[in-house]
Amino acid sequence: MNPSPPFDSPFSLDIERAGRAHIVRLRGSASMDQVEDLHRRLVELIEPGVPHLVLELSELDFISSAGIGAIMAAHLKARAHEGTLRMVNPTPAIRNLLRLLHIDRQIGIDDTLASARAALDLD
Amino acid sequence: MHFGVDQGDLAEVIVPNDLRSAKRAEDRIMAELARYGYDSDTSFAIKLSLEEAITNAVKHGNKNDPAKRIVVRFQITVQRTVIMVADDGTGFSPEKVPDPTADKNLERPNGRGIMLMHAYMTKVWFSETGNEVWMLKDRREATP
Repeated sequence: MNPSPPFDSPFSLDIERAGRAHIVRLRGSASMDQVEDLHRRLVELIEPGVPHLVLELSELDFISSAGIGAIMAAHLKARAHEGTLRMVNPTPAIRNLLRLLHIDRQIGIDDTLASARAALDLD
Repeated sequence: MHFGVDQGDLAEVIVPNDLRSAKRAEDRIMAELARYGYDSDTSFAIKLSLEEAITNAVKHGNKNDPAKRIVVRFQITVQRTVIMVADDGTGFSPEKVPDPTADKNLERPNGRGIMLMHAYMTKVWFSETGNEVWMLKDRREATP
């Protein structure tokens, strides 16, 4: 039997409302066939009254620059609505990718969901 | 011939010009990496660079034209992976792509792919016409 290909786990978004924010858990691989859907779904979550977005990334095992572009688009829309996007606990590989692209200078990264919630005063 | 590989020694996948179709080419390559036992960091580097090359080909090379196609050729061995991605477009000059990490460009949606290919692969070569990119990953090389 052939071994399973790496970074082949199904991609999913689990969305939870928390006051003026949505908390989104991204799981699996955000491969190129998923990126347009990811972009649309993240951007449409930002709206008046719910301008904050928290992306919990601990179970996201792959993302490309197009996926990061989707996160940046949501970040810019959140800022336009006087909101904030924060990322939580990315894997070492994705944290490294964010650092290489200097995205970590634009968007705050928290080690825990609790610290992201506290930063946005959600509790 | 690039990176010492003859065209005839490469496997070839030709797909329509859209990202869902192009994923089929990626799936073939990732299955081969698993078969050869490539580690997670090296597989991440190759998948990332391949997606960057294909996304550039679909969107910028072929300008999302569904009548056009993407050609992916590859050779995977125990020691290294060579991948070529070509589109039907008129090409571009990689050196004219602005630095995506410059402060003034951080919020621009384009330009990150080429930088990442260079960061994660051992060697990257663009054809003079700019519509063909060759990438080499030496398995012994660490990822950034």
